[in-house]
Amino acid sequence: MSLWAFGSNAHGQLGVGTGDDAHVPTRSIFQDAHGSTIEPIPVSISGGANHSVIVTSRGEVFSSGRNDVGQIGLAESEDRLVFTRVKGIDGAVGVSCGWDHTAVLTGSGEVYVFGSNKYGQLGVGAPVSSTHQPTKVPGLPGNVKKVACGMRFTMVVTEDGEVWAWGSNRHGEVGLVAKSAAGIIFDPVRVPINAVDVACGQYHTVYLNTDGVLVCCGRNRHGQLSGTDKTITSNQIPATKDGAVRTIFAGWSFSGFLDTYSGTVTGWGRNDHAQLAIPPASICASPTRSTCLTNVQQIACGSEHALGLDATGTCYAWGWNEHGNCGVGNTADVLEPRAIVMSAPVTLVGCGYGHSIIFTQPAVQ
Amino acid sequence: MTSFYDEVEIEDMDYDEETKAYYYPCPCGDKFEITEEELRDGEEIARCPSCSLIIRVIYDPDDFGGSDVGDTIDLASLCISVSA
Repeated sequence: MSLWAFGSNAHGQLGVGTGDDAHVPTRSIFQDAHGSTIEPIPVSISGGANHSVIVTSRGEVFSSGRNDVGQIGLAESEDRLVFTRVKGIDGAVGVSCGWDHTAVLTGSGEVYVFGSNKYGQLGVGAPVSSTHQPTKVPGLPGNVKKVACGMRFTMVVTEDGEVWAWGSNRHGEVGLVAKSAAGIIFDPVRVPINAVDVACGQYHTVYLNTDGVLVCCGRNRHGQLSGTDKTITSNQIPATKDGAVRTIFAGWSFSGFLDTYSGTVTGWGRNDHAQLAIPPASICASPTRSTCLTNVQQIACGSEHALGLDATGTCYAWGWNEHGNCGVGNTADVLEPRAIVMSAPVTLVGCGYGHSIIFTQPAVQ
Repeated sequence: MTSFYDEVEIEDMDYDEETKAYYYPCPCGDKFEITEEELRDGEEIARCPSCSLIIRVIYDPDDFGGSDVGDTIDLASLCISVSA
């Protein structure tokens, strides 16, 4: 069992013990409170600009990378080069990271946050500029089932389909709520939509509503809401015929969904680096299915690249690759999805903005 | 042909008082950067120190005093009158 990371490593976000970029999957290191190396089993992986956070099967939270504003939830502000246990959260089941903040979901439906609150992205009120201490977001229903962070905002969906949001709303990325003067929402607000899933980009959000419709809000400069009119701030994509959306995803300026049955990937938005796993073109304004990928079970997006994990345990990478974040051994853009060569099946994938992290099970002997 | 990662209005960039520069997030995790001095000189390209991507900054040169000779003289005479 091993965790592997690759891509940008300017502040130790790969957790490999150095600050050098890696262009191929490189073994990440976990340390316990005594500095001993351990091998926990990750169940959720996310990353931001320069940090990574991992939730394990035992509900523990580990983090690595930059900590200048507390985005890895450790007391000291220095960079961490290996994954280190974050204290103060038990029973974690999921994590999502923004540029320099983190939101952790617990099994009891609560949300803990740490990092920058400059844009209100922690939801803990305006007086807090940042915090290194995991802090429970007040005022939420206690049955949150999903957290998703955009660059400077945070969204949660509850078991009842309620959506709550906070953080930057300068470009209407939260959508459906009145814009405040400064474009910042410091305390969680209820978004008037019933949703089952949400995915957040740099300045946009995609909701999957209870009717199977994809509701896109925010900026459409790169077609991330779909459509060619760059000035719109919301758009809708009709439900698929069989209503079969496994999950939705968003990179910085692209969006899409995985089909439940075929495991195909359909996307729209920015595609200049083939972020949508289709031949590159500056913008793809209409939802378009990639012909390269089938049977995909999981997808994770960086800022301008993505990973897809298929049912055989093969991880594919595509898109912008300047920091080796596609893990194929070079830094040329990956214009057609390429399998990352691993000796064991991959079971979990996650991305930071310019880096990627994957987990492999032991090979069957 | 120069290829820009994006075109960004100066209002969407973050200003840092200490460095007297404007910043904008780069997808690599670092930040595009352009100084006030560069803007005064008419520079419009903000660069990322960690990767090859660049952005074009949209701004009104008049807001930064411009590099026009006439402006410089006006500014200088203003300083003299203030100190006199």
